[in-house]
Amino acid sequence: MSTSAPKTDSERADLIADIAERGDRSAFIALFEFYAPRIKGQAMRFGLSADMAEDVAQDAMLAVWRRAGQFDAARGSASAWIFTIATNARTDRLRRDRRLTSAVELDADSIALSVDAADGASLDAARVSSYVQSLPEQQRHILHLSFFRDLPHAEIARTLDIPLGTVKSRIRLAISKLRQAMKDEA
Amino acid sequence: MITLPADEILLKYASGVLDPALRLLIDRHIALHPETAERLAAFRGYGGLLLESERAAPMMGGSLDRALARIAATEPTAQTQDAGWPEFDALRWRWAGPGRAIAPVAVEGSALRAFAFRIAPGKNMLQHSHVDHEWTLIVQGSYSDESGEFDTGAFIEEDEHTNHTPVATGVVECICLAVMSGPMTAPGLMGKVAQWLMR
Repeated sequence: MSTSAPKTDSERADLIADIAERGDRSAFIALFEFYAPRIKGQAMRFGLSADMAEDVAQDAMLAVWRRAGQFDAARGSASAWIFTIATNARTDRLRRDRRLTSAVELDADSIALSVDAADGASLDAARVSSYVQSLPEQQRHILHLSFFRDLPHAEIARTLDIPLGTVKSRIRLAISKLRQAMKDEA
Repeated sequence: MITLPADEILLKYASGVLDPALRLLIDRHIALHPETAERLAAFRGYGGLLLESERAAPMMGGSLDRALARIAATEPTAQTQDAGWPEFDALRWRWAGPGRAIAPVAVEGSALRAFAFRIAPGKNMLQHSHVDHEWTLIVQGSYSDESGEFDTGAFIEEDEHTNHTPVATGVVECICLAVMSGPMTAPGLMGKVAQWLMR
């Protein structure tokens, strides 16, 4: 019962609206097929085992079904909304089950965005990806260490072999530039 | 003087890696500060783009059927708010000098130390400095210290360079929720007492 994958974010937003308005199962199936494997992949990037990541994807998709009426396309993209739901599902799972697998190493490759490989990624994703790829490697690394891990600055300094004093200012710079880039997208 | 959370904290809040105690502070702060909510939206947007671009990890066989069975057994629901927000009246308040009280706050899964404090109008908190970081959310009332005046909803970050003496201003008791990453240092005997109180 495979359905055609929604290609743009606004198509995905429409599918969420279909669920909200009439409990549309085929809309749910299309969203599940697009998002569930990505939520699972992303949860593993955050350090969860494949089994836990699978559960997170299931929990998140159930929450998408239940909360579809709360999605407001004027306030953000469908992907941003589902990302937030998946984030909550992941933190809920971690709260209930402390067996967090040992943190996966975040090397430059594992944190690179793979937009060309992802069919269905939006133009915005491609633009922001090329923006992030254009950052100096160290800034990109700092950005993703901050996004995917909650590490003390001292550890970031050690990992990247830069003085602790400069870690803070580099983090601030990398993240504020990202926020600016996202604002330009909006 | 910082009264809004730094981008770094909002990024981690958006991605879900922020310590649960700090998450509580941000939950409450955002409800009062639309401009912070707007910054947060940018980071959630980024998370959404990363999600779209994520390499798909194949789901196990039968996962769609399981999902359909689950949605068939569920109704739409409203999101629960304020999960984990402490009941301030039910905390174990301890006297910490005239007009002030302090209480430890247990936050599940947090690696930081959280505590609440109350200061009567016109009274001051102990002067103290920090070995590492302290983040404070003003839950009720307002206070001022060496760097300025702060109102309800303000999110204040202090580090090892700040040494301050908050004084409650206004007419209502000032109630704050604070989170600390290193030990607090305060001069003198009352400082030792305060450290003991916050264990």
